[in-house]
Amino acid sequence: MNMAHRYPVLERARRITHTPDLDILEVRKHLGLPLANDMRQWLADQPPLRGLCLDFSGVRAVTLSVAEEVGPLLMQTVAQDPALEQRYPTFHLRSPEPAYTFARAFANHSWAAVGTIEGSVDSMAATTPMATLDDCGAVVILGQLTKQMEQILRFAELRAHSNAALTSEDLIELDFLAEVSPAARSKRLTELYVRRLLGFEENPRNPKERLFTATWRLPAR
Amino acid sequence: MLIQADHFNGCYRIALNNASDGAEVVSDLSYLCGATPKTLTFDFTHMAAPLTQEDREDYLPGSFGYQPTRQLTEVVAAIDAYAALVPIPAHRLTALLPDRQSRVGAFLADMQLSAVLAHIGLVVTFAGPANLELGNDDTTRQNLIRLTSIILASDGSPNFAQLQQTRSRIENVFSLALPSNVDLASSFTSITFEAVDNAIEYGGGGIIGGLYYPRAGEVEISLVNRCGGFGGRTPADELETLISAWEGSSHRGRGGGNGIAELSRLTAACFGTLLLRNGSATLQLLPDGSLTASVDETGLPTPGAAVTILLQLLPTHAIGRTDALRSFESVLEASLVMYQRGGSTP
Repeated sequence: MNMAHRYPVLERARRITHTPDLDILEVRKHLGLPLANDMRQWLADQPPLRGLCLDFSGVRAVTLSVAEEVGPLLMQTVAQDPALEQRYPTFHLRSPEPAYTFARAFANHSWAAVGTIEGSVDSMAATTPMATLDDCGAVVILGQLTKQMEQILRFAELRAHSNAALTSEDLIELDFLAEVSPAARSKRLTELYVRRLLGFEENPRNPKERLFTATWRLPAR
Repeated sequence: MLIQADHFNGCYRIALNNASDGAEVVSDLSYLCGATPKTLTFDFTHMAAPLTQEDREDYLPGSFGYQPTRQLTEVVAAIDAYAALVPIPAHRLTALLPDRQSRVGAFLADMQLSAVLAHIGLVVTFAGPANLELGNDDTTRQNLIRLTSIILASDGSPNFAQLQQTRSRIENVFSLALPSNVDLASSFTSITFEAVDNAIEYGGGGIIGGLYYPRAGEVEISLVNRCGGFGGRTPADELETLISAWEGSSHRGRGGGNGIAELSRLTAACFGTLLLRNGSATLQLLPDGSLTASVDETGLPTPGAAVTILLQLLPTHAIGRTDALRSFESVLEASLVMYQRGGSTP
């Protein structure tokens, strides 16, 4: 896949476990936790406002406990740690089993993250397809997503097609946000940023305004 | 059962049969308290051929004839715990196993019992079975997981290569039992490994074993350890703690608690049975969705914890396709589809 900032999960896991042919991620304490710490460190070292790929290529399966550590618990740390502001990880999952497990882990924690999946996602529980990218397959939201959140993300995707960013002001085009206060609209976008489903930068012409982009549309390089 | 107690010469013999379990071994060993055994023999020749028998003609969903690995892993774990306490080689621990010429002996050899006992430090010898072998064996039976000690390094980390190997065996069997859904087989294997994960994190390892009966579509996996567990000082406490863990209300810092929840969900989807032991307390989730609890009030501590999962999948070998089987096929298929979509089971 065409991403400059790529964390090779399997390679790092093999190094942690000293097992060169490892292809399954299991044992929370001795693999899940060290891997999550390593990912956190790597994310902190990456540039802001770029798509950062956590590449699970080659991982045949993952247990729910490990998926929990490197999935929702890691992403909750990303949401809280000031050193990880503006870091936008996506989970690149090539085989269906890990995708299914990660979706469940995120749903169990009432959290969500962007994933890219190669292959069919039609009947997969707790995943919401959002787009298709040429170089990495289907973009999905893994985990819990309300209908309103989904509508905002689809709106952001629509605007990305016309090379336009999304502002809180634009959200009045959505029926359920047409009558609410600017603060309430802004809060919706912040919630999606916290989960790193939307990225933002300040408008250079109006520093008080934030320009949002769907995470999967952030530059990869 | 302690069948020889020669105090004068210090020779003791404990006979183990199909019904022996960890609590019985602990009880037998309690008679040796204060004695100085020169030789203690664990005599497995009393195990009989029906240990491996699962050859019923009728297909009865959710009904299990035998659970041999559960008893066997409990017995081996109890011996392992005892061997860790006695000062070897001051005392000589031996095991007498039925030889390979017998059906039960062949089964135990395939399950690697002698290798595991030798690893524990027992001197293993062989003899013919103590009883005449009657009945028929299920020739399609597969030793899904040979008895395996999950050994941890001094820092508590497991041997990942060993885990990979064990996992591959389980995955192969689930692939056979679920030929139309490879992803589900992989998912089932991951759930089984949640239990292994817990044994590594909280139980200092353990012993795992499993059987598969393609003819009846049954899978049985048992994991036992002799330290750790869910907590509790008395059998009543142990039961209460086990129920709390079952309900998911045990306290945890962050995350976790997936093992029991995932195993329960899987068991319900496959109309199986899940047995959980915490010390002397046992919980059983039955195919009809009911839950039963029991406590062994032996007065002796039964340390550690155990989990046994019995799944009812579809037979892969020829068995009379009765009306019950045809009906069950569609019910199971619907249940598995719902399971895969993340819904609750019917």
